Amino acid sequence: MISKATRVLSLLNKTEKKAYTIMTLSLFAISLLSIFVLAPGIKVVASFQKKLVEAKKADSQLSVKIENLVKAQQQLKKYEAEIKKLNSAIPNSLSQDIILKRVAFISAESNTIVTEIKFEGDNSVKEEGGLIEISLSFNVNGSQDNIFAFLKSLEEGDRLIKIRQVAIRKDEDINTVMIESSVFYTK
Amino acid sequence: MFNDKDILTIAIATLITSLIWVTVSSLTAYQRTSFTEVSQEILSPIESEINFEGIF
Repeated sequence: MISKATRVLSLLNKTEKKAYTIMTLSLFAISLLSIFVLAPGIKVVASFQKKLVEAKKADSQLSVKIENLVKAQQQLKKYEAEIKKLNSAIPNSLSQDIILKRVAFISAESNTIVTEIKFEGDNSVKEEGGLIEISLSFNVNGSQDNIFAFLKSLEEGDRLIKIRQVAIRKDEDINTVMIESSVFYTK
Repeated sequence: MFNDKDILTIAIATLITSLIWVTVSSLTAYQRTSFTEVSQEILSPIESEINFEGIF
């Protein structure tokens, strides 16, 4: 009887030992599998997931950008003529020679004489929202009507000239007008 | 030296450590990945409201 119990106990111990061994080996196997197989796989999945999220974000940003560009293109088409006018009114360079030619042309057209024309120095340059304003002053001699015609032509010209101040001085028959104005160009 | 229970405990600890390592390395890989197929210059937004209505 005792021998039978001893045999059963021994068998139980053997079974328990075997279970411990299998359990331990399984856990080590899972650990190694996690480190050498699972980890690289999950890393690849994680990086692709991140790329997917960012690609979706980029896609939505690009969609908005494309929509805006389409709107801009439509508006550009609609206002093409006005934009040409705007570009000639406010060009992207100062081009003093063109302004001088324009003033000389208006002066000849209105029978007035420009005696002095002066672009102000750098300290009078104002810049706001990409628009650069340069002060331009000139003296003009002529009859009152001719001077009015000169001012009218100056204001109605293609190039935007903002007349800030006009001072008229009369010496005998000659009217001398001192005009302070601003011309604009963009960067 | 070590009995069966000790070895099992070590195995469990190894498993937990390896799982933590897998999680941390995956998160690190996620963080480090960047999307470079489309340049930032292309993605930069243009003026959200291009509107000439007010100008003319």
